[in-house]
Order: sequence, then structure tokens, then C-alpha cells
Amino acid sequence: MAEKPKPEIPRPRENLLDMPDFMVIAANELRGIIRQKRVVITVTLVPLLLLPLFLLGMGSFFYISEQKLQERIFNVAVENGSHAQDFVLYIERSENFTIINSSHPVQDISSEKLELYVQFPDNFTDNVEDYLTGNITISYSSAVPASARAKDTFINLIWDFILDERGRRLDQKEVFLFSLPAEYIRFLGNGSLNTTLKGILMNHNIKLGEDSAVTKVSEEWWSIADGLHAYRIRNASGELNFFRTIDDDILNVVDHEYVDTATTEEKSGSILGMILPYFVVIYLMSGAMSIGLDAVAGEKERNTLGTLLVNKVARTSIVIGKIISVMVVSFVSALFTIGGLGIILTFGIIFGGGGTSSAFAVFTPWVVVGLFLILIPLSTVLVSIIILVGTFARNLKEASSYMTPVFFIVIFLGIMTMSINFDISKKVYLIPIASSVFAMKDLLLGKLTVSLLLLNIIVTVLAAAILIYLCVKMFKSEKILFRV
Amino acid sequence: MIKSEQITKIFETKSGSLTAVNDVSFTVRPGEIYGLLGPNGAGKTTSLRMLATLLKPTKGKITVNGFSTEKESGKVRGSLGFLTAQMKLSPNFTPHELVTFYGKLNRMPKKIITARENFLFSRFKIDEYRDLLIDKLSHGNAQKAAIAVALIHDPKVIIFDEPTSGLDIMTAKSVTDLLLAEKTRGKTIIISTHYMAIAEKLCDRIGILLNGKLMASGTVEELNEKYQVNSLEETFFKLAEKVNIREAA
Repeated sequence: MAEKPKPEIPRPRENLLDMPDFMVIAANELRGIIRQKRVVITVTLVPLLLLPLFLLGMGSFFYISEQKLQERIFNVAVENGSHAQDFVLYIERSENFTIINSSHPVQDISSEKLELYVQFPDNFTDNVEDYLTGNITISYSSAVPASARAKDTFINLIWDFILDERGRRLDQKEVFLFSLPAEYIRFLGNGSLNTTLKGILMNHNIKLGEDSAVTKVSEEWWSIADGLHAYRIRNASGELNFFRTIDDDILNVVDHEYVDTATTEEKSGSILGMILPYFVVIYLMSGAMSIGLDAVAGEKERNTLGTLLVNKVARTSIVIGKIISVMVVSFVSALFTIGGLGIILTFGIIFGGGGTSSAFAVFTPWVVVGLFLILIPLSTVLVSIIILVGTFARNLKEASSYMTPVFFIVIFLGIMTMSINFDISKKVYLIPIASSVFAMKDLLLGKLTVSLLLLNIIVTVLAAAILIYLCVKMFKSEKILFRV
Repeated sequence: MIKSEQITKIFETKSGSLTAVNDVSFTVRPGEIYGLLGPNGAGKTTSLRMLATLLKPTKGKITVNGFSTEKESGKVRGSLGFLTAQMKLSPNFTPHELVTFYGKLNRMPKKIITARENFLFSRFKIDEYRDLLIDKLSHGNAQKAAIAVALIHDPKVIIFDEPTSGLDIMTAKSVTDLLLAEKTRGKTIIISTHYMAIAEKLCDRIGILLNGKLMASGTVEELNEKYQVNSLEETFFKLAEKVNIREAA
């Protein structure tokens, strides 16, 4: 009878200080990693330096963007200004607006010659002076970032007018304030009291409570508030509430309504212009990255590149062949990205539903041709960068680590287009990749001129040619191609 | 014909210069198999890589079929079939796809490619694997497919670096048989090996490389006579000893 094998007894560690096996393996793995100096640098120093630089760049960019917006003077066309002279004076005095003439305001807003078109009815001044409400119609385009921003800025101007006019009305209609017993007047708010209102109250011997700027509200106050209707009046320094003893009309100085002149196509173009360049560049890059790096670094690692190199085919042909194949994949990836975004916009999956049924209508023949003319050189540049990195790297791991900072830059450029809301200098068209990103954005916003498109193509093709030349140069360098 | 004239290859490394090949000259004529024999690190692979234009000599001149490896590298590569044990075929393709691809790169007509493919595949008995991915082939069959790829354009010059390394005895025999057959077709063949038996059996002339230097060159008989020994192995060890003594001195 065969002897039953004895169960294997784990060998005791000779020395209790010996590391357990998994630690020995981990230590060995780490030793292997540390030996790859380039990888170590890429995972330590690069993020240490790159991340602050990246965030600094982003911060500077947003600061500049905000500064530009604050300094921006928006063009406003006014209709019937003679019937709203007081209000027009506010526009004229504003640092943010300048009044210009426009015979075709809607077209001018679309073509960015004009940001706002403000219409006053014949009875505007009469209504304001009679303690009634004056109406303003403000036309703008949500598809034009400057116009949308002008609309937001214009509301401040309206409020300046409202507050000043309210002060005047309250001053003249003091009876309304007198009707409220002094002890019930309480003011709440974080900021200082509207000086006009404060003056009025003081002039009429209405005492301000100790808690005129309190943030803690007493029970007593709430019981009074329940019985009375409280108004909330916003001013530049915060909010204040006071009890109502006056008619609504006294406070309703101006009523305004907005008219969005953007067409459905323009709205879709605006949204696509904001997000499409970002996604396209990201997908062009990520789609090309894995196969692009594998095409050279991976082949080096697997020792399959040599078979091609000893063939009579020229190195230039090898490089261009590899670039074209990776380009096709990245291009297909980009096209599917555009299609996916079109579907999202059409069905309103993002932006809270209510998609634009004609999102695909943005893709007019000119836009389609333009996109192709922008994307082909752009993908050549991106793929050439990937091939260049793949050629330089000794293996796939090293190549992937080199790509991290490159990817950071591309993401940065993408974010710029998503967040940018001012007219960036056309000099940006001289920077490869950025040029294509902004060309795409301008194309979808209907702002891309033929000369800008040509400039983009020339700059990008030139960059692609330089990158391909460098790739070929590296492919011919035995020090780079065969270094181990 | 291959003509190597005083070729030297120096690699610049972090720890200084490394002379991998030092002033090596030899000639390989059509219808001849020349063997570069030497231990690991002797400079065999570097020499062959220079012949195949993968590396440039630091000094010296190489011509293959009358073409300079430096000035006419494309023409040189077009006339040679190069294979090394380190070179692998892309795993995502089949032998058929690969020979067709390399045939096209060599501007061969489709009919000729098919004829060459059939000849090489049947010679190596890998007909039945022609449509299997390289990844799915055994090491031996993958190596046979690699030889078929290297020879698809029927090159005049064949350069094989350690052609039988890692192969089983049957596969190794099919490779040596092929080289002998190609020799009779007038091909210029150079191989590197560290197997004495292969060198003796296969090569018309042998060059012994030690520490990057070509210590001796000739037929087995010439070498035996010159060094007063009875076998290639003895010649090799005699030379190796000489080099070591010199280095120690």
C-alpha cells in the first residue's frame, strides 16, 4: 500500500526579522521600478512640478478671463431712448456699456457687432414718474457669450436705476412710511443699510432699532413678520428686509423681459462650440494613445520592429505608415465623439433635458468640410507626438509615463475652450493644437473665416511636418531606436 | 557578395566607450556560407547588425552586393534576408498575412508571392498553420514562419544570427538544410553561432571573433593546420586562451 504523503509543513523563518515572502516580492518589485530612472522622474518630479504649473496656468487663465470680462465694454442699441432719457443716462454713464446705432439689431447681435438691444415703450418715463412700472425689453443672444454676459451685467444697471428711483419715490411718498409704528421697524441684513432709505427714516424721526444690522432675529420679529408681508430689497451691499406699509407699485419701478434672439442652430452651435473641441481633442488623443504608443514602443518591447527595419522600405515610409494607421483610428474615434455629442444634444440627455431637435443641423456642409480640414492636420500632430514619444521610449511603460504631461497640456487646452467667454486674440491661431481647438470652436459658432482656417491649416501642417521629421530622425537614430 | 573592411563599432555608454567590434575585415562570396563563431558578447550580433544596416560602423566600410551599407542602405536591405533569434513576428498576424505583407513591401507580384509562400511553407512544413495567428504557433513554427518572412523576396544575401538557437533538433535541421540548399543556389550566406558542430557542418569558412576582434578566418582545415590542432573546438580554445593571456598581461 502506498504511503500517504505527509502534509507539507511550512518552513519556519530562520530569522524572525526576515521579511515575509510578499514583502520580499514587493521590495524586489520596487527595486525594479526604482532602477527605471525615467519612470521614477515621471511619477515623482513631473507631477510635483507639473501640477502646480498646471493649476497656476489654469488660475492665471481664469483670472485673465475674468479681468477681460470686467474691462469689457458692451455695445448696446437703444430703441425709443427719447422716451426713457433718465434710464438712457444710466447706460451712458456706465463703464460697461456704450450706445451705438444699429439698423439690424438682431443680425448685429448674431454677428457680434452688438451685444444688447434695449427697447423702451413710449410711456416708460411717464410710468416711472407716475409711480407706476416702466417696461424694458432686452434682446440678446444666448449663443454669443459676450451678449449673454452683457445681459447679466445689464441687470446691475437696472437695479441701480430701481434703487435710486425707489429712494426718490419713498422720499416723496413718506406717508407710507409714517403709517408704520416706529418700534416695528427692523432691518435685517449683512451689509450697510441703503443710505437713501436710512436717510429717509431718520428724517422722519423713525428710530432705527439697535439690531438694524443684526443677523439673529428675535422671536418677536418673526411674530410681526408673520402678520405682515416683508419685502426683500436687494442693493449692492447685500440684502435688507423691511416691513411693508406701502403699495407694491412704489417699489416696482421697472419690469424687464428678455428676448433671446439666438436660433436653435445657433444655440446648438454655441453648446457644441463649447464642448466639442474639448471632447474631440481628448478622444483624438486617447483614441490614438494606446495604439500609437504600442505601434513603436510596444513593437520595440516585443522585438517585432526589427523585422520591418531590415526590410528595404525607407524609415520615412515606416513612420508615415504608422502615423496614418494610428490617425485613422483616432479620426474614427473623433467622428464617433462628434456623433455622440450630436445625439446627446438632440435628445437633451445633458443640460437638464430639452435637447435641441436640430443639433445635427449645425453640421452644414461648410462646418463638415471645415471640421475635416481642421481635424486631419490636428490628428496628424497629435499622432506624431504619440509616435515621437513611443519612438523615444524604451518600452510601453516608459512611453505611457512620458505621455502624462502631454495629456495634461491637451486637457488644459480643452478646458480653455470650454470656459473661455471672451474674444481671445487671434494670435492663438499661431499655436499648434490651440489653433485647431479654437478654429473648431469658431467654426461651430459661425465665426471662422476662410483666412483663419487657412492660417490654422498652415500652422498645424507645419507643426505636423516638423514632428514627422523628428520622428523620422529618431527612427534613423540607432542610439534611440536600439537603446536598452 | 559581402565585403567588410576594417569595421569597428564603438558604443558610448555611461561608464565610457565600449568597443564591440574592432577592426574586423572579411569577405563572403556567392555560393558560400561564412560562419562567425564566438562566445556571447564577442561582437557577432553587432557585426551582423552592421551588415544589415541596423547599426552604422564607427569606422570601416561594408558593401553588400556592391552597395554601401551607409550610402545605399535601402538597396542593401532589399537584397538581403536577415533573421535573428531576438527578432519576433507580430503576434496578431498569420504567417500568410506576414509573408504577403513583406512580399508587397519588396514590390513582388502577387503570383510570385504566392509561389514563394507555397514553396517556403511546404519546405518548412507549416502549410497547415498559414492562417493561424503567430501567437498561437509553437516557438519552432513561429521561427520557421520568421525565416519564411525573411526569405520571401528570395534575397541574394542571407544573414542569420544564431539561426538554430532555441530550436528543437528537427526544426534546427530544417533550417540548416535550407541554408545548404540556398548555398547551392548561389546565395551569399553569413551566420553567427556559438555551436561548433553547426559551424563545422554548415560553414565553408569560419571567422572566430573574440572580444570584438576577428582572431582567425579560414576553412576548418586551414584553421586546424594553422594552429596545429585537430578540431575547430581546439582552435577556438587555443585562441581564447591567447586572448586571455594577452589581456592579463
